Amino acid sequence: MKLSNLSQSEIVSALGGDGVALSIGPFAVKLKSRIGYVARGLRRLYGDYRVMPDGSFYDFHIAIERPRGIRSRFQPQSLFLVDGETPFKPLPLNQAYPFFEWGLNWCVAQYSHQYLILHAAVVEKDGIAGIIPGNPGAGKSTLCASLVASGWRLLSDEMALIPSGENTLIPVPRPISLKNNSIDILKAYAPEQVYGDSYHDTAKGTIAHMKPPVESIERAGEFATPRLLIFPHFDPESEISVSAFSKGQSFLKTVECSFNYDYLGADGFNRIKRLISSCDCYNFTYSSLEEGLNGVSDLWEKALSDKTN
Amino acid sequence: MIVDGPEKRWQLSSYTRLEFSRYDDEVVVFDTGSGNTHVVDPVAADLLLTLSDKPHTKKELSNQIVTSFEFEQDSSIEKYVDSLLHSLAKQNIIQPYTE
Repeated sequence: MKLSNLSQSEIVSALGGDGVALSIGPFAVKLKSRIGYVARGLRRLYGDYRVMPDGSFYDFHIAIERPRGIRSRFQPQSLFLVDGETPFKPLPLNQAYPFFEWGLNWCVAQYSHQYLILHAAVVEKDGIAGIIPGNPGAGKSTLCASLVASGWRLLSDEMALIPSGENTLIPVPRPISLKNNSIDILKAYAPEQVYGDSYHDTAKGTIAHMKPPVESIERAGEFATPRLLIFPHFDPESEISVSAFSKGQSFLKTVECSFNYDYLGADGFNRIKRLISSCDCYNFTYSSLEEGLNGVSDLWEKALSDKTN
Repeated sequence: MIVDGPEKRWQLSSYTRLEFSRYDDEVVVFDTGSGNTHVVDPVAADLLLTLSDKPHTKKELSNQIVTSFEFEQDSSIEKYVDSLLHSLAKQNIIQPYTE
């Protein structure tokens, strides 16, 4: 059963009671909340996700609730809890839904050490998976969202998950987080996509999310083989430029964008070693969405051609 | 005791065990002791691999490199090895051999 099979009132009731359990890639997430923003965001953006039956094993038990105390009467807030613990300070009540998204990112990065986790978007088309690591300002999420809106499969907009012993990428498709100007840019480029509410004055500015395509969610059990590693740089003043990036330097940059390379030690080293060996690595500078899309598509065509020859 | 002068030998740092990943003219080296990751050139990688076996003097390392890479034996090789040893020591990958 999908979440969209439930009415809004059923979702609100479930979230306020035993919770709603969703299958999100390799993770089972149980969520409880009596905050309306969460129910609204969940229904709009997670409608195509499978609801897990009662009694399943859950990787994360998450609750987004109002904190108690006199302050909450004057400044309504929301609190993120995982397994009953509160790892973060409260946020304004109207940021309760993005709090769920950020908190779930944290849970995966903190607890999922069966994977090497890279801060990167991952997209795939016709068997060619591309990893786009996400330095701040690189335009990773905007590029990812536009590729997905153009027909690429979304594996993740935030984290590349690499298991032990295999050079594959584990999909964990979730709503794509967009910030500030990129929200309007994507809405203009892909108005047919489904977007959640915009949340203003967050620590990252204005945030909104783009719903993943149904196909990406339904193919979440289908692993992908990495073939492209693209380090993007968005610079509106520059000309488009694509250059091969040496494997050694690509290795170091991949280490830099890993959440848990240090934790995994030699195992992490060997996972990146396999990754780098299978990928063509590029530095990519672009100044517009169109350039970004065309540039990635050109690299994909080259990789596809190399694969078939 | 550290022996100085031409007989000074070098070894990998304590608790260092190295893993290598080779790409054309770059070698990525992972130090399992410190958890640090380095990119070095093939000559430095060869030197480290040699020291992984047992301690060596600068002269022995220079000769090894000349043989491995078919360089011409001249004074520039030892100067280069000297510079390389100091660079690697500064990064705590190697240290003077202590008896």
